Amino acid sequence: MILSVVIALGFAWLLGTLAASACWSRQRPAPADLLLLVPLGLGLGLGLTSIFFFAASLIANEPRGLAAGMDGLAIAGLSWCLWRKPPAAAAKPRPPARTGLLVTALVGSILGQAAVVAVVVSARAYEAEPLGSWDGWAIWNMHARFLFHAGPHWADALRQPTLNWTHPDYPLLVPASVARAWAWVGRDAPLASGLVSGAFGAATAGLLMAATARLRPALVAFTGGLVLLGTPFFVTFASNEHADIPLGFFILATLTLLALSQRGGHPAGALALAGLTAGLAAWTKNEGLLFAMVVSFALVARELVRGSPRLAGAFLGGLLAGLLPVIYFKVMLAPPGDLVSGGITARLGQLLDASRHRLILASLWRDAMRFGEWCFAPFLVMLLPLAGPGWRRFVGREWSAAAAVALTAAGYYTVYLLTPLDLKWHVDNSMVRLLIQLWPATIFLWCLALSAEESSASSGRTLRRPGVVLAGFVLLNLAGTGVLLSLFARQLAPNEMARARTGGREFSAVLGEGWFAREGRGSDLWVWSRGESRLLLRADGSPAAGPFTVAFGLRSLDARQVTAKIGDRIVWSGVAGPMLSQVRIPGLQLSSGDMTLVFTTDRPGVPESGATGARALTFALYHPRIE
Amino acid sequence: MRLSFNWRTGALLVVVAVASANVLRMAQVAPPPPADSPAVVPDPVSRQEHRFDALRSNLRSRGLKGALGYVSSRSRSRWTEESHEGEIYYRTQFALAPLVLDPEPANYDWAVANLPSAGATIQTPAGWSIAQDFGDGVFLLHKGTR
Repeated sequence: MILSVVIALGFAWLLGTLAASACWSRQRPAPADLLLLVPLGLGLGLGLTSIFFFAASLIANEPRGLAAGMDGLAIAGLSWCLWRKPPAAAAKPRPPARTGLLVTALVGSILGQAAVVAVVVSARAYEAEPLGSWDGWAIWNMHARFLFHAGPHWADALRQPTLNWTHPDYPLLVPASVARAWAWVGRDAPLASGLVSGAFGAATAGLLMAATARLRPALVAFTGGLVLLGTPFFVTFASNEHADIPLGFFILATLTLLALSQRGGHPAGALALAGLTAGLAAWTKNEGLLFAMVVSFALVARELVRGSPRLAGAFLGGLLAGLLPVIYFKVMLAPPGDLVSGGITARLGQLLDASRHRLILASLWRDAMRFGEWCFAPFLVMLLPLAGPGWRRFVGREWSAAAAVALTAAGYYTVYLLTPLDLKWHVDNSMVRLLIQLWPATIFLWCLALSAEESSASSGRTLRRPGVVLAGFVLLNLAGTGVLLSLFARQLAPNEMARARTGGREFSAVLGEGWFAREGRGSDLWVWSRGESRLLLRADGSPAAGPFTVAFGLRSLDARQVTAKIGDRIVWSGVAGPMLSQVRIPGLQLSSGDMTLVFTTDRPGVPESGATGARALTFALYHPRIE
Repeated sequence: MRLSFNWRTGALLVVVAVASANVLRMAQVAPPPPADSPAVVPDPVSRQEHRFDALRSNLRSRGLKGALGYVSSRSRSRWTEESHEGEIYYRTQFALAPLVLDPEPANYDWAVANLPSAGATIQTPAGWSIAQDFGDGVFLLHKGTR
């Protein structure tokens, strides 16, 4: 199954990279361009193939073949276009940036380790909710199921009034991408939706760094990437099968292309790509429609004022290509959305309602500080490099990019003012997602606002052997990755109390029924029993294992008898009290790979406090160990 | 020039330190998936998926398409936020998509009954009979008697 998903994603990636390469330059892209075009191509390809799958789903009962044919034709056509282009002129070799190499390599190493952490954490977030959290399954995967299972009449089914709660008016880039991946697999496998979702997260991080590295020193690009990967909400949300991370990718892609269009030799191509990604933003979420409008306004107005209608036309041409499926979907298939139902004119008075402004601003302050789920919000320290001479003014289309983010945020604010939904509910349930949509683009603008001088943090000295230094860092990183992965492997699961390797076997103690949730503070670990409770003892490998000893601390709020049994055999019995006592149960033997220790007590639980709903606690196990 | 560069590099390293602290914290608090145990409850959406597996196959083999009625322990007008009937209905709809479940079942010949607390006996709504019992409170109902 994984192979089918990888092939589906691989074809999309190839198509997107070819499309980006075809527009990027009048020549074939140089190898250095691929660093940018490859992450851009991943998101772009998923967007384009989603359009093909959407079109095929309207015609064919089994859209996979037709969509794959369109993918193949597009890949062949774009390859032919690129083949006809002259090869890239040999790039003038840049003098090796030896200054600041140590600092850059150090920050790059930290970034590499952060990427390992991000992949593991994102995978764990997927495992916790394989079908996504609320919007993931209730909207995006739900629509994907209709596209995948319901044949060409999926839109009729999805339009039924009884399904209005699933927002059938929402655009289909994510559902069509997921349904396409499912079509390749042959069933609606959650892993495929998780990988599509994660691919957008990875593409966002890659594009942020690649685009920044073309405009600013590598140190700035690495730092920007680290700020993004140091945003836990971004990392855990990336695999959560929502459309906010894909929308954030297309917003970022549009803005990076605007900024890069004034650097390359083919601005019309870059702007056409920017238009296409803005159109794909609208194909991703309704908020993307707002973004497409404001970025078009910001850019086209600038180009017309500066007398460059050809460049404005290139952007609008790309935009139209991205908007075609949106227009068809909204006009022909989708019911009206809940935000525009009932007419907006009747609600214009809400714009002047001071209480609505207060509520939105208070929520914005609250959520802006915490939406990233950081342990330390990075805003204040991000101001530090901008202080004094570290700051630079935006130039050219960078202003259009900044204006697009500001206008989009202003647009979100206005939508809140005019919403027909309960304002508090609407704000509480959406603001953090709006903020995460704009966060990658905001980090990019922050990087752009930093001055561009090359770093010379190694006190002005140049390194004698930069290759050796880099090789040293690579080795250090490989070792660091090994250490990180082994630390992750040693982390206890939420229902695990102990793990130990003894006699070449891995043993673990897992909570069965009858316990409250595991608790911990610092290195302390304990769990309270509800009364009768089970501790499962397991050993990996061959069934028979032992003998081994289970040891733990025992405590209760009152004096009580506690008994531990295996089957009908009592293996330990004693008195627990408010003072922690140590218990050892030696000579245990696993005959079948696992066994269950059943704990019982002679008295009912004691409420832990006078509050209503307080837990009734019997006894607690502290620091179980297997020896 | 030198001042700007040193200041910026130092300040960037502070940003790197803060971002790294966030990454470390994230690594500490993101738990691995629960170890296999009878006490582990899968997330509610996956659980609902498994509950409706057999019904889903059965509906496919019967060739039922389009919309069906949906019957829960209370009629739609009496659903409350506290009792989570709405949430349970949404998850059931997701589990059985692309079939459309209508919580007003009167207009349909077939209905899915989701009655997790029904126990051994089920009181079918008037005019409906059980076509098949899939266990765990999942039933396929047919209008009329069989």
